[in-house]
Amino acid sequence: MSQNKPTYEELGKKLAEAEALIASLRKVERTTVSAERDAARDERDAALMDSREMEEAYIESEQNFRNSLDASPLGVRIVTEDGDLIYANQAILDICGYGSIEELKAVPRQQLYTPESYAAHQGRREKRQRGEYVPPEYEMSIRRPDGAIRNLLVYRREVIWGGERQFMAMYQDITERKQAEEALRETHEFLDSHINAMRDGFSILDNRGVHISVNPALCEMTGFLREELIGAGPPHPYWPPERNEEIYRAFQKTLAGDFVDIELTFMRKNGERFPVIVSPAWTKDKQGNVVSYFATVKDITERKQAEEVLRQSEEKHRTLFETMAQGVVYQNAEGHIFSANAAAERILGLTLDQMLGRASTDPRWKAIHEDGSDFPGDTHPAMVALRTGKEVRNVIMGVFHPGENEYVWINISAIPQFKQGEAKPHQTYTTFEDITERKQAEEALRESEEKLRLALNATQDGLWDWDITTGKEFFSPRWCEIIGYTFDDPELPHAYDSWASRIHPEDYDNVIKSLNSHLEKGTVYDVDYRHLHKSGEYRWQNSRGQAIFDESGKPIRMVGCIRDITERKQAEEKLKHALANLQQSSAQLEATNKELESFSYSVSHDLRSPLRSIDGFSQALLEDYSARLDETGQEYLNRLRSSSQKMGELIDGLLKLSHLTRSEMHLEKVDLSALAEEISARLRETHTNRQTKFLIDSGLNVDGDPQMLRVLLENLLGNAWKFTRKTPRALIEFGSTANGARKTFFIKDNGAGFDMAYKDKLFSAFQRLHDTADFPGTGIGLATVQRIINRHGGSIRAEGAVGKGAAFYFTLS
Amino acid sequence: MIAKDETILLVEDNPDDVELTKRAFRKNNIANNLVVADDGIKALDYLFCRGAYADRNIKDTPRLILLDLKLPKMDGLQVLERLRAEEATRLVPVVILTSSKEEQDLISGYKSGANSYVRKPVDFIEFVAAVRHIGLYWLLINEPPPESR
Repeated sequence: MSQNKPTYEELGKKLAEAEALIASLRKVERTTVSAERDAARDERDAALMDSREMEEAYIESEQNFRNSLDASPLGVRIVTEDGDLIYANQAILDICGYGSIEELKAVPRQQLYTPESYAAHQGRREKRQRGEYVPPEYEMSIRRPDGAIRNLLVYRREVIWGGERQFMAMYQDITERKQAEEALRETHEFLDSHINAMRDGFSILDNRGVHISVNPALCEMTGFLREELIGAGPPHPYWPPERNEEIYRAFQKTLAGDFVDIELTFMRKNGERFPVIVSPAWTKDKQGNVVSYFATVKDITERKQAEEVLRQSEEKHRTLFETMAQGVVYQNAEGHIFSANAAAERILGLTLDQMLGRASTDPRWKAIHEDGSDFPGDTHPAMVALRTGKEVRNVIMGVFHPGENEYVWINISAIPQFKQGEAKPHQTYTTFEDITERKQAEEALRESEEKLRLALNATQDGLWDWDITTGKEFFSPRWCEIIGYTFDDPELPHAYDSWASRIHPEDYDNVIKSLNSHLEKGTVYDVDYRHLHKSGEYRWQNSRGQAIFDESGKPIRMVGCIRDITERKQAEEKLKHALANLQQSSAQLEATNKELESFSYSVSHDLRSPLRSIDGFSQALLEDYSARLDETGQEYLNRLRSSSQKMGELIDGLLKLSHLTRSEMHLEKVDLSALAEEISARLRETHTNRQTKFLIDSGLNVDGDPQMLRVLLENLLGNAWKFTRKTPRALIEFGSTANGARKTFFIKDNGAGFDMAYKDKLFSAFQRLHDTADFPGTGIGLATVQRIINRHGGSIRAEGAVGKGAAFYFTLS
Repeated sequence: MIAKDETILLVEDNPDDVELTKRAFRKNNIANNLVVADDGIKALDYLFCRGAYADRNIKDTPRLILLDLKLPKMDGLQVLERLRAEEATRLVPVVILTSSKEEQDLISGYKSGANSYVRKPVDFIEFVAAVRHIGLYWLLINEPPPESR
């Protein structure tokens, strides 16, 4: 547009100049013609004023008129009504190119006039003859003897000439004006054709801003018809109302200076606003007043859209550049960095300032290869790209990160960039991503795989990997080995069937059910089954696996391992047998216990009844038949009674002992001191005549079964009481000695004591160290004590000497 | 000392024990009508006026029942449960008089509705004393339930 603009402007300017010139010429012509015309009329009027009275004056006046006509710069001819030439002044002779009036007279009109003018002349003449009105002013053309055509403006009127009524025609040579007008017309045509053909809108406005001319492009652009715009003054129909002032101001401002493009918003007829660039121009007269305006209007909607797209694209690119995870640096032809993004700063641990100007060959990068060897700067992808002009992609490099004080691993690509027409790149676009974590992950994976491999070796598990879609199945060497094959044994194809067909028929359904359940519902796949070994025997295997599912949930692959568990299964079998045996024993034991209970019941019931009869009837005999029995007989009956009562006690003792063995223990905190006080108090009550001293330590607490502990203390204290019966100043002590973490309790007396030689018999049932006469008893007491202490997880021992008392030391867990 | 018209039912299979119990009653001057049933069925027949006792008036409930636990045909606890289930006998005082001192028997006895539990001592003198105490308590001191009068 900018290239075309001056042309239109210049054209417009020229056009305006031409129009101004023509207008001025016209003005001059008209003024001249009308002045002459008026003068002539005045002369004639004066002449006609009073013809009779002013005869003399008139003749004089006519002479004056003739003189003035001779001197007029306008051509003047006077003709008769019939058209005969009777006068021609010098000016007309000059215009027509003839020397004398006679010469002019001799030229016929047909020859003098151009054919068009002659035709017009004939037309006018006929009209006059018919008495019709013919305008007094018209244009015509004549052909001079030299062939030149002159255009003339003619004014025709009646005059009194030589006393006769004649016709005077005054001629103004308007050839130059006509030529100018022709040039102008051509210019107009040229301009119109251009302006009409212009894709930009174009308008010509008068000095008030009223549209004189608009081109189709402007109409099309604004949606207004030509008729709607021509004659329309400001505010123009295509100015958005809300922007009228703004547009006024813009134009006013421009008017003060040179022609400057103005960016504005215009409005289409449908109300749509659109951006335009208006290139205004104007012409001014000598006084500096604007004569007319010209405006080229360019619809820049598309350009704006394109600019917006470009802007967005640039924005996008900029954002991408700034925010992308990949580091990007631009390096110039020497490899010096001249731009870098934020990611580059982060990855490399350098600020932009630190990077700017630094080349790839700079030793401060401390670049290394993956194997740790030096990475020479001139082999850097950017340098290679600059040297070869070819892209270098995916080069792994370790770069020292000064902040982290360790190497970061990057994957670099360098793309050379060329200026148009140049073969050598002027810069590179070097990108890199931080793959440190990926490398670490890869390392971790490698280690993990190594570990898995070692673990598999160590566990002796056989690995399998089943491609469910193809049915192919990979078996690790160990897998094959477990069932007696080598890895590449052709008898054992690596396929699902190789495995499935070898499952023991009894286990098959269960295994397949478990497998399908895993594949369909994701349940755990962990099965034991017998698998056919190459030797032909079935061996136990445990197989575990995990399927991998695709996005639709369809299993595509399954991986797992097997283990030979034959030995474990055998061990389990043995264990099962042992358990069964144990259960049997337990049942037997229970039965035995039941029998024992039943036995105890019988003992308590059935053995006592006869004793009661013996005792009861012995007593009946003593009571009812004592008169018939001598003393010996009565003595025997007393012995019967005594024995039966003793046996009753024995039975009770045994029952108690048995009960202690069988009954459940109820553990709670038991205050042994309080219990001992209570027992000693009762003992003293039963034998108020005895002077026996009890020394009982307070605060002896223990966790145990209160019933059993009561029996324990009753027996021990009862024994001490019994065996101090004959001891003067008898003393019974109950206390404890802390022996490590475990408390040892003791009950001591200064009674009859016992011979340590028999201490082993002390705690056996029915074993007595003293005779019944001195110290009556059943021999069950200490056995009971022993049993109670055993049930509490403790131990008991006795110390003593004959006549020097006894001491029982016991612990309870 | 004690009204004769009131019956004591002794449920005891051991004839020795029956004899000794009778003797103990005599020794203690307990002159009540002592009815002996030597098994559980007979005890219930008596109480519910069945079989050999069909002619008996069911309203004449015993003043006291002395019940051994170990009995032929039907043991003492079953007898106790049955008589406690019957309207006529559900309030009759029952003293379990047995050789057993098993905890299980004590618990079951009381659970089934025994009013008292006495273990027969082997020593006859003690036995006589026990019977005296029982008689004294249940026949004199204790007020019987209204409907059994």
